[in-house]
Amino acid sequence: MSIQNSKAAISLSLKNLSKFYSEAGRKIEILGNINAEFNQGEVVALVGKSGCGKTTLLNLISGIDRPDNGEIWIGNTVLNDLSEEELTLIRRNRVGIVFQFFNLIPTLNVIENVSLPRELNGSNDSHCESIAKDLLTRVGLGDRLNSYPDVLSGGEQQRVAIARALINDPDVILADEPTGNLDDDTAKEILELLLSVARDTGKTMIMATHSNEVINYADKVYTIHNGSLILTQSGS
Amino acid sequence: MLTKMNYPLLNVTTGYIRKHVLQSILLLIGIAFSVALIVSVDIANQSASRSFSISKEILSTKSTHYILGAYSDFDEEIYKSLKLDLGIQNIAPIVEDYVNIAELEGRAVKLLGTDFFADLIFYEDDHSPLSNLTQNTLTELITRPGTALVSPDIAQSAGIEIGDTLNLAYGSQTLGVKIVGIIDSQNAELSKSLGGLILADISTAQELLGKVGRISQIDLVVDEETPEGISILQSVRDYLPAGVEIKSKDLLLGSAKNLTRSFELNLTALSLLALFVGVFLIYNIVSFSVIQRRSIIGTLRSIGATRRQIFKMIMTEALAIGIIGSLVGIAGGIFLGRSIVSLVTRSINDLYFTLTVTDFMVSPETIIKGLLAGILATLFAAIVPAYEASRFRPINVLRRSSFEGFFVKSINLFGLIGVMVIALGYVVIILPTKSLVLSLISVFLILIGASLLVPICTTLLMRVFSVMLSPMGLIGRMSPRNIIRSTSRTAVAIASLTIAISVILSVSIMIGSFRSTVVNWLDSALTADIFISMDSPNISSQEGLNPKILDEVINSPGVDRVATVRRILYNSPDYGLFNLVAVTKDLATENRKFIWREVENEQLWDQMQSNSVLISESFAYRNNIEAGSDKSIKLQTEQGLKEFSFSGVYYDYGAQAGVLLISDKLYRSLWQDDQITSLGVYVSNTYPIDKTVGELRTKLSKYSNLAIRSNENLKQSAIKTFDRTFTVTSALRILIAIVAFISVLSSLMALQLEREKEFGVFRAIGMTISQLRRMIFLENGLIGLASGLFSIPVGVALSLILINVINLRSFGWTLNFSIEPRYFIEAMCIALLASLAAGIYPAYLIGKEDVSKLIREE
Repeated sequence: MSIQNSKAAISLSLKNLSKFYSEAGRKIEILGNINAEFNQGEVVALVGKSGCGKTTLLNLISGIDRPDNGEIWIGNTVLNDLSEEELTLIRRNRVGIVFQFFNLIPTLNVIENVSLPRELNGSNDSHCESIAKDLLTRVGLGDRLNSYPDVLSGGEQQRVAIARALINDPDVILADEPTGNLDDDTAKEILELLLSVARDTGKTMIMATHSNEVINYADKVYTIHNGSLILTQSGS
Repeated sequence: MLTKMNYPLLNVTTGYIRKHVLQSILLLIGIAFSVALIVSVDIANQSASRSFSISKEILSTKSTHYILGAYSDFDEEIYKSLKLDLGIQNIAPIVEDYVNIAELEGRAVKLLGTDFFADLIFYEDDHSPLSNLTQNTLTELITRPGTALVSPDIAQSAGIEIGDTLNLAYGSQTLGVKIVGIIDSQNAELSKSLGGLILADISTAQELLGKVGRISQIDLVVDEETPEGISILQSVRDYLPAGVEIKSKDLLLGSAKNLTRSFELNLTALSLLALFVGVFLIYNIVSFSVIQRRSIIGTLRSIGATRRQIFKMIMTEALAIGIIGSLVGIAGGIFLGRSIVSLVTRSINDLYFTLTVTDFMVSPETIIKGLLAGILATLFAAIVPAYEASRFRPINVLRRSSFEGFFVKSINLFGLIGVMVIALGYVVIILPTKSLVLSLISVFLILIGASLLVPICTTLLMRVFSVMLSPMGLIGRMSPRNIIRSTSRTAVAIASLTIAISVILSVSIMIGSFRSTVVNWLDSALTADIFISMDSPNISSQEGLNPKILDEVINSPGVDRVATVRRILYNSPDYGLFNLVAVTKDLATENRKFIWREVENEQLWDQMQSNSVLISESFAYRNNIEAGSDKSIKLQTEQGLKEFSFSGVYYDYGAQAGVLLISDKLYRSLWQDDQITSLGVYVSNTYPIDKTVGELRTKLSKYSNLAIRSNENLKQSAIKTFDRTFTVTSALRILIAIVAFISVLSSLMALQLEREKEFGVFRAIGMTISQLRRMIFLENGLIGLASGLFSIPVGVALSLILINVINLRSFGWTLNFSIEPRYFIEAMCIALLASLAAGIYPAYLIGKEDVSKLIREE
């Protein structure tokens, strides 16, 4: 299948999605019968108490984890039937992930970190470097292309991570507490950057967060409570 | 240490071990393997010495002295006079030689005859083997010629029962002895000494061995501490004729020990090398366990655990695993020891003297040595990581790269120290000494120095690889950088693999050089077309060919001329044990390669016929005889003490004890010996050699136990013996490779497993499992490649030391340095295989692991 080219107008939909965990022989429902649709260009905040299942839901959407029931559609592709290899390609090409702890590769410099998901498609992409440079310039790191992650501040590392998430022009950006590891001022900068990127590029962005600021900016706010996904705010 | 440790910390430790069972198992295996090698080699060495000792304690474990002929048997009248004229008590005569049991594929045993009425026959033992025998058996043994007793072991192996006849090959004849009883003792020591023995009455043994009126040895018990004992010894010394000497048991055992000392020391050094590699393994796993618990240690430090407590926690853990690993290693060593003992005994039989008894002895010292080696190596290897853990500041400890940063900053210093240690090793080598221990120390210094150079060399090499592999894309660029990033562990893994591979490489080059030297030497030394000797001759035996054979050979069709060799093992107070070899002209100087010779070959032979001898290189080396010096050699002959000049020193790799080559004519004039050990037959140019071999075999078929071999055949057989003597070295080499393999496996696996989170991130951002696996194997392959490359200079340097220093000091042999490309290919393949194999488990795991778990923050 050609995953890279099968993009659709409806960005993401979740149908009867459930996920269970086993603990000491007991089956615990972390997400139960979740249904939701996310439109292209929508900025969605996902809130809830710690351990409620926000990260689990993001992992299911990105194909990092698999649901026990239900379906996940990215565009016109249903993830449930995909092999591990195909899910990896979905993550690489159609989903951009921004982690709380940045998760940059310490042995790669800034531009290499950003280029990595695109280079994984094959090293013949001559545009890769210029796209990465553009993205880095956009996130304000045009002058730090050859720096390594260990010399960057937390905010700078997260900017690199955002650029990395965008390198393959994904349909969906998933951000898991992207400001959770940053001070307030930096958090605000990163948040604004993410929102502007999503808005400017028309990407669907789902952001798990505890931040009230995000909630204020989001088009929709979903709360996860007792395994259910509840739309608690619609329209900003 | 354990008792003083806090229980909560103990729980942290046990909890960690429970969670990382595989790591602990690898650590245990590494320690156990290293200890097992030390224990098994120690058992082999001690057992070989003990085997020699118990083979001398047949009649009495209390014998303190032995009267022996310097080179052969002596007149039995000496025994009678000592007993009757000098009134010496507690003595017993022995006639002995080595025979081969036809029923047991020529297994060498000792045929020993004694006087059953002598004082010193098992008298001190409550479990005298004779007490098991009936009076009728004893009477038959003493009165009926050709009867003997055998040990239960021989009877059982040969399927012999009382009344059966056992066929013994001796010289070119087969002797049939009737077995009239089985001899054994409840006393374990005595039972062992009887193991490889056929016991007969003295007259039977004299007759069977063709030594009527002669005896080989007299055993005595004399207390040297008392005035009476001193006086007895003095009177015996005064009485004994020239060529017959009294030697204390300790002296005799000491001279045997001296002869095999180098051989045993080399084996011990190889086993220590395994421990050396094991130390890397322990260091790696302990340091990994520290890094893995960085946050736990940080938390413990934050909530008030002192540096001392953290240090103790890591060291206690190491101690516990060290003790368990050492105990497992000791058990493994005892198990492995059985095989090593037989290999070592076989090598001693080939190289030094015949051992008919293979004792298997596990002494408390061996166990203590193994336990201490294992525990000390573990504690030594754990000190640095434990210290590092204790020095972590709570703030730094949570930073992933604090230790790595310290290590990276230190690599230049390590390199500098490495160069200095290598220089020190070189200085130790060039010291004007023959000390084998010093040369082994220099080997260890060079290995330590090379290990210290590995981190900086790795960093440089990986930078080169990074450029070279950049066309492969990011994975190609990332892999060398990942290795540099984790230098503290990758360098240790590379160092341990480098050391092991360089040892393997150097031993391969040494054995290869040795082999090619021996092949060249055989080409020049074996000039005759056909050789006739006893089949399965025993190195210690004085047995000879039937003299009639010589005439029959000379008169055979196609035979141009025949050269003779008489070889006896000579025990001299001045030169120790060596081979005295009497030869006729053809085998004396023709084609022989000399280190030094006084005159040309033709004149050499003339000199040899008057009063000159040639000596082998090892004889000269062992006795500090400089080539060209005017030192003479004094030997006790049957014509009294004679002084010989020496006209040449020649290369010889046949006998480690050394050879003194004398002309047959001179030998026969000084010793009353008409025996011939072997014949060299020169075939007329017009006559086919194979045809002559066939004809001689037919003609001489009436003589049993004869080996008639063509030149080529004998060379092949000699090479086979050569290869056999290196079996034990090769076996140890493989075992070192196994320790290195475990070391690399554990460290690389640990390294890859530690990167689980990073792998999770790779997976999360779109790296496929196959791409990740490719990266793991590429990194491991680079580590293997680096180890293989580094091992080449280290291995070649070690081989030069082995060949030019250690071999010379151990055996007195000069070897030609010879290198074949296959040694390097082998080394590279082992390095690559070991490192790539280490990637299999992490690569397998990466496909099984749940990405969400991998990337989850703790």
